[in-house]
Amino acid sequence: MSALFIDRYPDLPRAPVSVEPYVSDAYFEKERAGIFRRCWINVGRETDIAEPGEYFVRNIDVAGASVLVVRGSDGIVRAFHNMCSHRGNPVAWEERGKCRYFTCQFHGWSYDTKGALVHVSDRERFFGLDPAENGLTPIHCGVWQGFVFVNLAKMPDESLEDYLAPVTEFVDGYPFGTLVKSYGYRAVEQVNWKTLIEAQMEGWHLPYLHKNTLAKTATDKGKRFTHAALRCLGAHGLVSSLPPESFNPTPVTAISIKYGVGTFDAFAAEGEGEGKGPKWHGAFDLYHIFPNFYLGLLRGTYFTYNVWPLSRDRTVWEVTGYYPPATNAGQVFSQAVGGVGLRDTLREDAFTHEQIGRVIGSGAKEHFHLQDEETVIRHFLAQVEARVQT
Amino acid sequence: MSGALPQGFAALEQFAAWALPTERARNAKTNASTMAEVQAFYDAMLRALPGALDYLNGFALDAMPEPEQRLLDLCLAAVEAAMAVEMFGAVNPPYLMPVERFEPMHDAWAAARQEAAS
Repeated sequence: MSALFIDRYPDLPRAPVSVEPYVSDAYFEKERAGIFRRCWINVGRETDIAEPGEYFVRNIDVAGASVLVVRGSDGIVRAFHNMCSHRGNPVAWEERGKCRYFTCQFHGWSYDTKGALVHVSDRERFFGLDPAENGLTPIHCGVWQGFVFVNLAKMPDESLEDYLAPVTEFVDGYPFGTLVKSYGYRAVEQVNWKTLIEAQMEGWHLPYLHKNTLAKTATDKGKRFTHAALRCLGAHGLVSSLPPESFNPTPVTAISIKYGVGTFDAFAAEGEGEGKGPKWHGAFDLYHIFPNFYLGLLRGTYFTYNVWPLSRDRTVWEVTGYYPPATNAGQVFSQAVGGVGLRDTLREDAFTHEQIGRVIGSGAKEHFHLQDEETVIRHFLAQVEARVQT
Repeated sequence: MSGALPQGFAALEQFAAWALPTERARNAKTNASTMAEVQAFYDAMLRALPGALDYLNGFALDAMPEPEQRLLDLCLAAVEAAMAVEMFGAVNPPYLMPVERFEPMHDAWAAARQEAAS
């Protein structure tokens, strides 16, 4: 047997993994507190709120929180609990917008874009209320490469910078700033969030599940599937795929490649690993940022996944794709080929998630088996377990 | 004026019903068609695509006249048809999450057109 990916991580167990974490309500309750109220969570892109006064709201249901992210009149991005200090009504009801003040629609209290309480209706009839002490409750917030993260803990265990350091070491230099949102999808699935996360943690399923889509244009005849690299990076992980031995685009994909960057062709692209850019491991470097964020880096395009547990067996999957800004019809077309192709590939994944979700609680299996190409799943489960136990 | 395409693309007029403004609508059109209809549209578009895209690249995206917008919509509908023809060999293929449940959150071309119109 050739060298194993797991050899690099002697602390990772090699035994079958327990089904319990996917089916136990008690386990899910511990995940709420130990993971989603403690870890740094990506909530969006800084470019979503480019102008002072622009805001977006991100409901983190698993933590029972609604997060209001706003660029203040001073240009600084801040996060607050979207909750009036009077009696708890969310002060922003729209998913996104732009304003100078957030006025609670329940009784008219107002806050400025820096979170200060600037108007209390019927103030003289309250009892010793100090507006200076009753602004919107701030949430720890940080930005890395334009990605906005929040941490719902009163005092985070570590800074965002330290938390992401094992990943930023490789990713910094990727030209995020030159790429803009091109496509996005959102699906509510009947599945535990970890099943959804783990489905993306290995490329081994490609020649099986995606034989009609992603794997159709790539042939690796008679070769055992292997990754370019699998890495455990702090709490996070890297799943890197090799370019296929040969790339045979379908007719429409072949046309799209002439007009711009697609997605299927990007999976097959190899670039230089040196110089100013990020440190590449393969053709497609997929970073899992613990607990619920993915960064899928390709040459010329990247996509993100945000995975939002709603309950033990219900999860939201958000997919967003980024390309250079399309300036002509040919680029619109090639981006559509990429977006739609990825959409249908991920619909294959989503179908499988729910198939598993449907039977996982049957009690038929107490353990699942993971091979070496699935090493990052073991790391993820160990990271979850460590936070559930503390 | 409904259904008119730019001069030189009259051969595609018979497929004018495919010129739909959103990804969701183009996908629904594909799924509501028979495989033979999708194949006929796909075959015609495969021949027309390079010429159409070269022609459309002569226009700024935010200043595209309506017939040209319609032609671009037709090209984008070919992307949906291609999934059925090239990938699945079927409309409404089994073993995928229904596309209605994969809600589009961002449709760059639809957004760009809306912005240009406002």
